[in-house]
Amino acid sequence: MESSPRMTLPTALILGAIASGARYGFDIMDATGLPSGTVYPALRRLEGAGLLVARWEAAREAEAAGRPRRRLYELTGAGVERLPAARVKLDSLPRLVGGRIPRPADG
Amino acid sequence: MIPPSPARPAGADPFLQLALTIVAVAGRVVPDVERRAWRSEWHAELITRDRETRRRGAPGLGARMGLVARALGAVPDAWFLLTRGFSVGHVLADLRIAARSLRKRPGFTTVAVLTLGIGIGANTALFSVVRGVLLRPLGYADPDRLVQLRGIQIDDLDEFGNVSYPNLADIEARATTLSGVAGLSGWQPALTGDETRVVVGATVSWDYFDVLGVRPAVGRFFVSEEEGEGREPVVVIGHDLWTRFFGADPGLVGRTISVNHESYRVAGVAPRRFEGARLVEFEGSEPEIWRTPWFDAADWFRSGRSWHAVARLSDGASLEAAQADVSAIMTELAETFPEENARRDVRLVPLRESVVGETRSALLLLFAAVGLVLLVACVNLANLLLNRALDRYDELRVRAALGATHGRLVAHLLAESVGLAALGCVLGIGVAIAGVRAIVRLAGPWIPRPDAIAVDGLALAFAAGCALLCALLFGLLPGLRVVRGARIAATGASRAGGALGRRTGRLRNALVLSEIATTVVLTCGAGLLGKSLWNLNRVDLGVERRGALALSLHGAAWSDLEPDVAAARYRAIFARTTALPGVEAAGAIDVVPLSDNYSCDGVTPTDRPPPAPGEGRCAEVRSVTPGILEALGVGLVAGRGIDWRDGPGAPRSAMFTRRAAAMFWPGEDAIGKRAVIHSDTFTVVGVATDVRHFGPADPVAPMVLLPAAQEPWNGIARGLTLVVRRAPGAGPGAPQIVSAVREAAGPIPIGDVRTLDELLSNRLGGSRFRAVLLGGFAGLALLLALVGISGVMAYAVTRRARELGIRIALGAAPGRVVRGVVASGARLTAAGLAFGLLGALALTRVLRAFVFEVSTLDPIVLGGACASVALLALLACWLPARRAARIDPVRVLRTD
Repeated sequence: MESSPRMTLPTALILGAIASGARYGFDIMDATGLPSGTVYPALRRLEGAGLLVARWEAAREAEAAGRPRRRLYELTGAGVERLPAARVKLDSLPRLVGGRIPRPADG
Repeated sequence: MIPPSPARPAGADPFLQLALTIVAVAGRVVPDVERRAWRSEWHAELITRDRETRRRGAPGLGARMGLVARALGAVPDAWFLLTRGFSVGHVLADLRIAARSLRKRPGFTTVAVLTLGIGIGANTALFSVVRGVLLRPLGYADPDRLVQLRGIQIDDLDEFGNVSYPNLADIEARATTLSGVAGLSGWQPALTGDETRVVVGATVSWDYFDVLGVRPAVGRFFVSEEEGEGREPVVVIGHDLWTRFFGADPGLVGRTISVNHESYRVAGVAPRRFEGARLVEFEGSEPEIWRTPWFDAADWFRSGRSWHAVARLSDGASLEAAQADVSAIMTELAETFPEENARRDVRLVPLRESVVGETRSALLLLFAAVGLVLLVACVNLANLLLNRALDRYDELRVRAALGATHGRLVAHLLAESVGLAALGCVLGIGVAIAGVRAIVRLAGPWIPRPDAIAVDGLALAFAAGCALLCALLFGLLPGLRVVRGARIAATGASRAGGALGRRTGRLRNALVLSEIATTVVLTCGAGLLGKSLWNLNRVDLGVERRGALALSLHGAAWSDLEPDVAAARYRAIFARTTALPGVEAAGAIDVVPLSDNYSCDGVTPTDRPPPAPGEGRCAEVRSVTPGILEALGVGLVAGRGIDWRDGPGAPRSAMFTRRAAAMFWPGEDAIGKRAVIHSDTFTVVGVATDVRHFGPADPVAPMVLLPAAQEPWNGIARGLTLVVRRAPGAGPGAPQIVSAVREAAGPIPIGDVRTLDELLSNRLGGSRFRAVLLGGFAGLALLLALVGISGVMAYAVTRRARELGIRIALGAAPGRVVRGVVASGARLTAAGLAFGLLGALALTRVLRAFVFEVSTLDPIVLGGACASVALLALLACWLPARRAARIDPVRVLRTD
């Protein structure tokens, strides 16, 4: 397992987006506004650091939606633990990204 | 469980297809173990997104482009996975290992670095030339709004000539689409201070600098009052001349200087590196002193078409509108002045085009050629690195078995090619710097703006880019193939090595084939240009150029002389120079054949009805002294030559060349006929052989020789060009002749001393430049191909050593083994030749503009080129084949 990644702005945004319900790569891009060339390597890094787990969605689910099976990302316990740090990072830039990440108290 | 990568939806949107293709291509570098899952994930996301947008209605262009943009993110993602797990430590370790292994194989390293260095160097050098000449902006304000005005004779579009000053003035006054028109014409001044110095000058309209849009370095440029009859003589001097001759003294402005023994006030100094309009040059030098016309435009000769012209388009005016405007004005002028202007028009050509003119297509052709050289170099490099990776196959397999990731293995191989590329780049920059110098020297005056050519930061970046591309493209791809094989082998799949050998063998054959084909294309091109150059050199110019020396006597020392004094001085000069041992003849002429100048003056026979306006014919009219025929080596066909009897008081005589005589009096004897030239009547006293005044590639122009002493405009009191004929292989050098002239005429200013050979060589500059450079590139390609092919064959022999050893052990004759190896090379060579010939045939369409009296399908040239490439390729096969025959079966079989 790789060491815990630095809490950069994209990392914070991605963790926040997943915490607020975005699960697939492209949905995370929509939620964060980050380009695909940033999001995917970041997801791989976070997965490698154990903050995320990735799994393939169930075949049933995909069939029902009429699409190929997608890969979805979820926070691990370690990932949830990093959420406050992500919030601190984002709060330091409130105007840029305000409101994208739910406060634990809200959720 | 990874789902299978979804099948591509048939008939899907082309944008989705493009997006999926990007992912498929990027996926090639993703490590094997992750590749399937990676592709499935990207495909699923793209397809899902595509369906979702469709469900909401037909997606717009923005949404579809967005999908492609998303797919581009797969490239950094794949790169991330490839390089994951690298650290600075790993990279340094890889580089260290690479450096060590490169040092341990000096042969391999030298060949690879030389190959790359030559390829990169040649490309960077030509890149610098192309950038300096074609791409760098001209040094004027808004240069794309500048046009050159070229006078033409309607129905004779080949003639591109000059314009008369009164016509220029009328065009400037009437054209609404041009904001300024400036004329310029050659001027040969000498600075006559304590020390006389001959410089290159031009007479220009007062607004010349304003039209070009430049600012003076010091002082000011001309104002309108400084042009015309009775004006005070003023000059603007060039920055370089100001620094060289006047010590960059700003106080010079406003002072008077002596030019041709006349006082001129200095108005200002042109900016540094001011290039002029590049329309007037004297043997490759730009003017560096400018004066204004000393006459009123309206009073000047409307038939004197000796002015170059440059104009600026008005704001908002297009080139087409300006052309229509100017042509309409020329039609009006033809009605008002039918005598001088009938059937004449003026063409507007963008100045940039006229500056870089024919150079552009030739340079781009050469750039393409040098790109092919780099391709051959890269193919060699790919081969070398492929061999290298195969050599390390076992090592890679062990590393893979020990758990090295795909990326680590690739990095390992890549480190070596990056190291080679870095060394090649350094060598290439050195080659480029030397190459640029050589190219500029070789091109001489043929390349415009030589001082704008340098290997600068951008050129260095170009070199580094070339190197990186070579390393990645030609180092990484073969490496990937071998690494894949090694990893499959590490998992225990047997026979993977054999399959790998076959696959890389095919790749290698393709490389050799493309190398041979490229070399054939270059060699054919070089052969055609070489033969053109040979033909150009063999054309009979009508003058005997060996042994002739031309030396321009500057006008400054002559203009104040009485005609008989000037004539006596010429006679003294001729007497003194012909007294030198080894000198056979001496004479003088105003414009030496093969030099740049020309002017077609009207010649009207008196025994013919006067021609309709615009129908009159012209010839090159030259002023000469006695002795010029012998000095130039022009023959006498009939009558007599010019001699000293043809003086100011005597009846005016003229010599016509054979072509001129046949043009004006077809089928008749020209001797005794009379013709009006410059409004005086001359009697033909002799007919001379033809002279190709403009050089071998141009048609013979009709020429008339008038005695300078009787020539009505300037007479003999002026500086002509002295031509001295020396005995073959003997005679005095230029310094002795110059001192003989000075002994006879005192310390008069003397311009450049040139041999006719040098003048011809200048004329052939473009052809020689193209032929030599393309020949050089072809030579490089041949050399690289020789190295590459023999390398591949040697490697093949090494690989087959065991098989060949068994054959020899079983009694195969060595000759048979050699034949077998050579035959496999010959098959490849034949295929390469076939492809190369096809390429060469395509190339000939481009070359047609550059060849002289050679068919671009010339069977001897094409055949010769193919034969030499084939010979070289077979030699490259034969050397390793001989080694194959000497294989000692016992030793080979024991090593396994």
